[in-house]
Amino acid sequence: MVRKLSESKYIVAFTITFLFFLTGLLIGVTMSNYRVQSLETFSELQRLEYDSLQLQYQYLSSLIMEEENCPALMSALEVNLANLEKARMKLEGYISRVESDKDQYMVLKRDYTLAEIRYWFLLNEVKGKCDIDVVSIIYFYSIDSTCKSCDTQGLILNELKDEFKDKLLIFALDLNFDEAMIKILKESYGVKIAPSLIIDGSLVEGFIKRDDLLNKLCENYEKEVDAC
Amino acid sequence: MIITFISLVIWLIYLVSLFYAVFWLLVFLEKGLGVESKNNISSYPNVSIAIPAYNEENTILKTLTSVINLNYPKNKMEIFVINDGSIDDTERIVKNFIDNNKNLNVNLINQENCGKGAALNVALKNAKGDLFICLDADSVVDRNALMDIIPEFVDEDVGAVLPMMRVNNPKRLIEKLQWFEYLLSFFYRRLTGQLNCIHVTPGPFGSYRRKVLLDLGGFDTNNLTEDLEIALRLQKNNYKIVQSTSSFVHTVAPATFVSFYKQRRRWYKGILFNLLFKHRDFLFNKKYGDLGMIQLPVIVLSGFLTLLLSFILLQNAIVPFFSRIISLSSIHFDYGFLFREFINNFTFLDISLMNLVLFGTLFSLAVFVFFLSHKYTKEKPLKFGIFTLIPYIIIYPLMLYLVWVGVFFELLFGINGRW
Repeated sequence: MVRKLSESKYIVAFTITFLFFLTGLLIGVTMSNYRVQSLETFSELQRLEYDSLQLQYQYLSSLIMEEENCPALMSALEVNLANLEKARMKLEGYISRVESDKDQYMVLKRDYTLAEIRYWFLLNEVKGKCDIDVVSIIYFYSIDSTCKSCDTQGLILNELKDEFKDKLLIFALDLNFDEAMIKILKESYGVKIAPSLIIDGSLVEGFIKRDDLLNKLCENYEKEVDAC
Repeated sequence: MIITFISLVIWLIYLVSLFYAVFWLLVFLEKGLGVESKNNISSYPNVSIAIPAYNEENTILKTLTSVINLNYPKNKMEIFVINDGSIDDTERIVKNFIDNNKNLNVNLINQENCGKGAALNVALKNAKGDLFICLDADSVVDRNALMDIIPEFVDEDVGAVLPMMRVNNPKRLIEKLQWFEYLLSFFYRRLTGQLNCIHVTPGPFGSYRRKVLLDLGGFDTNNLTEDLEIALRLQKNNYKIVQSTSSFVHTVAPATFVSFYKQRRRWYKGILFNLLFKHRDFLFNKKYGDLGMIQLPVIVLSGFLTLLLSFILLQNAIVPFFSRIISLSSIHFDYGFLFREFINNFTFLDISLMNLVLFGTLFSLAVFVFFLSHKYTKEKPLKFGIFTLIPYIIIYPLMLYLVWVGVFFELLFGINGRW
């Protein structure tokens, strides 16, 4: 028997495989562009929403702050923050998955981080003027492997948010993210590790169990809350 | 860095699998399986059938009976049972059988236990037939099994012919899973045989030209898988190995996971030993055509990729799976919340389309081959119902994969010596 080498089939098979991968790659790049685009559009919208809220607040506080205006302002803030959180989590998911081209995601992340902090400021100002029974949490997380309990802590916070609804506002910040404003917040509250929570201004360091956190939150409400 | 390495491995797996699948698909489209062609028998060659037996008291009689019932001139057949130092009743049963069938040429050779390869060589030394056929003592042949093999030997280049193997009377799930595998392996061997790429001549009813076996020096007596080794040597000497399309042999498949693991462990070790050490000159050697350039390298590579995949799975699926369970327990498995969260956050942008499409393509190809094999063998794909197919798709690959991992650990850490 004379042995043969099916060279032509190697070439055809390789070409088909290559074309297949190329198509896949192109689809992948297109998808990734769509992802960035949708996140960018969202961040533009967020900025507009924030400006609008800021203006509402300024206008209302320059007059006499009317109590009846507070709920509308608050619910707008709450909705915006929830949307921001959703987008932020999506972004973190993408960041953990993509290997190249992280830069454009990082710019977005900085944008989102600042948005979180802006909303937090705004909430504090509104709280000063309005009589609203809302608790705020700043959640310092970390995406590297040093924080093993961050996934669980994040899940617990999401679940509690789901229970408290608009009575609880959560602002999530990446502890190790290179952003001056985060460093300032860390220093002023003495935050060193992730996960850490700042609940209405007081620091809780390290992982906190769901039920313990629930109890802590309940102490901070003036009136009775359904979730407690 | 780790992510890059992992995705590299995953892409490599996709690349190799896709290339390999496309290659054989091209062969299939061009040549088909060639099941139509059939030569007529002009004469009946003399046939020697060798049955090595080690503690086979339960099955040997059935095997022998099926052999003497073969539709073939009895004066052209000689049968050797090589009792490989059995400590059970095998010897007495075979002796009785010989006494009851004095008109037939059945011989018993007793030897101290020295393995299947040695047993076959003893039979080979005594055999006089033109063809030398090995039969495991736990297998049963169809009446026409021999008759259907003969025409394949008309081609002078053919050194060995393989029957179609069937799992005998599958009852337990694990046996049914192997039933599918044996059925598919027919398709696989028939197709790879189109380019002379068959690398193993399995024990039950593997038929050889006796002269060729003698020229090659018989079976390797110190090999875990002498059936794989002899096939490689046949290939090395440019003999054709042909998968028969109509000759059936029914063999016993391991019925427990432990015995399954032991059997596969031996096979995989045999593959690695013979391809990485004894016959490593096959790999990427143009002299051996497609067998050396694509078939054997892919077999070895797929073993290594399986190992890498196991670490990746551990790190990226199994560990995260359990830590997720722990996380969920921290919120007391609040399903309502989880469901709402999933619905709220799901977008199609999150799906990794590339993985989905690649996996889908390979999976469709597998389904295609599955149905084709059933069509060619005229078996019903749903012979055991749909609920056997699901574990075949999900559990069976994991079982095979577990064996590869075990074998590699033995290779790396040198446990359990014999290689």
